[in-house]
Amino acid sequence: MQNTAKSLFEEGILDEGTYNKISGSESNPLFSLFWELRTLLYLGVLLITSGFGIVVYQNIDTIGHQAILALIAVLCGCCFFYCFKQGEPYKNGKVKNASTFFDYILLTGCLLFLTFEGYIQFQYQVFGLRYGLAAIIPTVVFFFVSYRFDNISILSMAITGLAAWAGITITPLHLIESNDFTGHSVIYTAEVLGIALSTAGWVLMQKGIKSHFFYTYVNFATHLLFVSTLAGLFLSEGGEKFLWFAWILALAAACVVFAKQEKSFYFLLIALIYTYTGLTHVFMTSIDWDNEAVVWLGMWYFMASCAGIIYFLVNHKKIVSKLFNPGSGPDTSNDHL
Amino acid sequence: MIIYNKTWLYNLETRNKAKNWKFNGLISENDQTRISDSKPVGFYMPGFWMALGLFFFTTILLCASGGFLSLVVLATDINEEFAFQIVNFIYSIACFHFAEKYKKDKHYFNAGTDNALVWAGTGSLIGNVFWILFEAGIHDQTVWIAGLFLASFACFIVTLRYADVFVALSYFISGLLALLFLCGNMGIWGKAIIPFAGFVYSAGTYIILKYRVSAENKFFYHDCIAIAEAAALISAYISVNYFVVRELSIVMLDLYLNEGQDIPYGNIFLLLTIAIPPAYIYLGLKDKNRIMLRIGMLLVGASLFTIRYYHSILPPEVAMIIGGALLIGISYFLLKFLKTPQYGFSIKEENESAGYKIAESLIVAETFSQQPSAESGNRFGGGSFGGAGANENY
Repeated sequence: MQNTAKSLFEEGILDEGTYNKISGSESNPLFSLFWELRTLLYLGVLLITSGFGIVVYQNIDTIGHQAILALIAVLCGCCFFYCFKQGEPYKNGKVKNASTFFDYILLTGCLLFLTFEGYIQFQYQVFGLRYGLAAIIPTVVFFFVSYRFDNISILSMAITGLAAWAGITITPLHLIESNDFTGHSVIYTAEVLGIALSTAGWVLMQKGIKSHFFYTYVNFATHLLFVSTLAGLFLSEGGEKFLWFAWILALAAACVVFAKQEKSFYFLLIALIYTYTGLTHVFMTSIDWDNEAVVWLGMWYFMASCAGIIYFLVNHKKIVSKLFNPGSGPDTSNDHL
Repeated sequence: MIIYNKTWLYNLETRNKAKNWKFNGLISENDQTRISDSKPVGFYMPGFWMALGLFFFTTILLCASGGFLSLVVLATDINEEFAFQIVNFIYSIACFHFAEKYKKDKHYFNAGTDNALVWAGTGSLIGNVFWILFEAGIHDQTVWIAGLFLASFACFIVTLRYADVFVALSYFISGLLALLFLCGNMGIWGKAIIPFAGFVYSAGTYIILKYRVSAENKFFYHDCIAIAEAAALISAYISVNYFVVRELSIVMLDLYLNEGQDIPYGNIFLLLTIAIPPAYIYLGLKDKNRIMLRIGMLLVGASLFTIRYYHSILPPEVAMIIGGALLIGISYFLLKFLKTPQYGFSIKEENESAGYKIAESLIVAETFSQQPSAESGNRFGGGSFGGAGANENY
């Protein structure tokens, strides 16, 4: 397969100029180390900030708090100074920062700020018992920084920080495990936070302020909303269940609309899986398991529902286009999904 | 042997190349359309998330049908294990039948459904083999040796037919395990050569795949070969890794090592542990082999941990700071240095970067984020330092 370009040229599909360009670039291919170096940088930042944190923690008694605080503050200040000096000016659209290194200086600065703020609270109780205030300050800073320098990593940290302030963990691996969804207060908090995040993201997108951030907002919000709604569904009983289930359906509908608009199958899939979990729960709790014949019914339920969903997934373009504009041909605009 | 339409596979590759050329500004949009038009690909290839969804629901469907078949057998009151084995066998056949049908007639190509069918067919077949072997009254390790060899063989045939990446990986791993079990059962000498057997098997697989596969097969089984090569590189390292060899020798050979004592040929293993990762990185850079390079980078970390485990020179936090500073320094230097391409290397962002960026943001959020505590009371306890994800307990 070395000579793809050559055979295309011989078949007359590519003209000579293009062929020469391609064979020129292929005779001397460049090997990009972009992601390898970026990973090394990330590891370096992780190691250095962690190691630094440990050293500080071990030597609190000997170095003296002011000295440590001053050192952290100076380092943090240097990072931010560099960023403000080197960074591109703010724009509503995407901003491309010149060097890869830039993002990591920014990240280090933010992490040091977190250390600094935690330290002064731990040592001097600057915020006293107003822990909420202490938690919200880095979040506000991170939101500002992420918008100022157009950085979705920091935005993700800001969103998780906001959730932490509300008492919820929404980092991907801990969403289900770290939260105690058996209490209704957590569920309602999560619902409010999810709606707030998606609304805020939507409004900002409508205004054209960093519209590419919308995806990150919605990604956190959908998982949070679906998981908390499912928790609500599992906890509720009787007629209340159907209210929760109706809410899942509403969320799923919103997801489908969003998926269609963004041409992102990811959100359709999320909606489908969470809704299916809810539906299965409703089905399983609403039938009487004492009867032996019901076990068969359960098997039939899984087989029939999954076969139906697979049919829908494979033919979803045809089905959706029939539903929305009967008479017209299948919509092929989403083909790359 | 391969089930897919070979012309389409070639055309698919051409289209992918055209996509890359377009991304790099070598061809115009018109050229790309012309290439796509003249190189038809009839496969059903949904995108990643769609395929994942299809895979997910097909898996549930297959589990439910398996359960359904078991229920049918139970209901007939033939409570012989034999009946279950027959039904299990029929189930595997049915899976392969549908896999054939979907791949051949409907031209599914890694669409999720077909992968799930192939995996379910292979898995239930192998499970059945083990069941029958255990049933036959052999209860020593012979079962594992025979079963793993058969499994490896089955996976090989399935890989040849469907070119499935996961099955190819299973082929390599089950072959390796079979060999290790075999050595482990050949007395003291067998046990002693386990590291070398693992190394020779891995290196042999790698060399055969690299140099003894025809260009045509290399093209058709590209992904399968890539994953088997990656697995071979890793297992070659693990086979002779000092930590693995030492700890396993202590367990398997009932060695009692006193302070200062070493395992036989310990120095050779230590040398290999130190030498292999840089060798991978060097060869990876020399041949521009990204898999080898990345595995080498990963294994450098493993080697550092191995050496630190036995010969700790610096306290961990100092090592972390020095290591972190070195990493940042090296990558900073290289990023500056490669801004204008040097020696065929560059730091140009590639086609794939949008998805990576989002993944990176999630990883950053996962490792560095603050976790709320139940009552916020001890939020700024010892754990708040540096948001050092893994080190919250310090």
